Amino acid sequence: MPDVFVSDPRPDSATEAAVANNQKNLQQTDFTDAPVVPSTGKLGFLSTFCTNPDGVQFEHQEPDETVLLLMRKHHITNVRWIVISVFLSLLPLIVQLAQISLDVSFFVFPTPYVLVLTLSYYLLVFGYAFVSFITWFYNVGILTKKRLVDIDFSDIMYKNVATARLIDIVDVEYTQGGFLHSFFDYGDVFVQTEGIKPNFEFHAVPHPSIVVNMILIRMGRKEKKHV
Amino acid sequence: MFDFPSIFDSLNAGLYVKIAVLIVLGLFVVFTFVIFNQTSSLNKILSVKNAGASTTIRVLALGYLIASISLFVLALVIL
Repeated sequence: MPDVFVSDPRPDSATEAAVANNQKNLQQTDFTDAPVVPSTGKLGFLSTFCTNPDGVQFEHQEPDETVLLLMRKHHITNVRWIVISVFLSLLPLIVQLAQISLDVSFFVFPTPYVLVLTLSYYLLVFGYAFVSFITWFYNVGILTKKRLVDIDFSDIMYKNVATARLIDIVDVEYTQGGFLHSFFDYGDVFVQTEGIKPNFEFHAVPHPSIVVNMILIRMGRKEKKHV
Repeated sequence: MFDFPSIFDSLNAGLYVKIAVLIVLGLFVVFTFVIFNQTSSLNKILSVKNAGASTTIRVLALGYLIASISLFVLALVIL
């Protein structure tokens, strides 16, 4: 009687060994010769995109692990908190001018209270600006020769460091929509990893197409996806 | 228009206000201490040496903490 279904023969041990060897080679391959974007220069205090930056170190970095790319949110994303901080800084002056021009006094406090309240107010405004700045500064994506590192910091208390080996990355893509995104060339990069490992999202990073290309090159795949 | 001096004239009310202000400033000191700790912790996670950014941020956080403590002490003395 003829067989209706015959399954493929199970891979023999030689085939399994070859597959394992290939994976090992891919893991150990150093794509140094791959065409990488030339260095954007020395890493500045406020750099948002820097290839081959010097002096960048992160937690659990291996001795031979070179940082290839450091990225943060685009400067334009900081405009909101800067404008708010400037406005809040000028608000007491505006109120003072309004009192003088209208010849009225909205609040009359004893002098010691005026001093303490004024200093408290400006310290609060500085605190708001400072926390906004460090939130931007420490939200970083790092691409090394071996891994992708995502450092997240938000709401003062929350911080998260996630890493993924390049061989665990399945797919990379980016989105760029809207006038500001196109004009300033920034967008969101999404990195999908294998299985239960967390996916990575880098929001509002400059030159997302270059970021995606660099990751793909490090993965050993030279291609570009644009959603 | 609010006439705060008349409220402050009352001894008890002034005392309560002073205590309230000191409590708020004490919480503010805790807040700045948390920020200082977080920046120290984040500097260990990510260090950008060449640009001097890590040092600058740490100094700013320390300055902020010192300023808030100074304000608390000032309020304790002059209110």
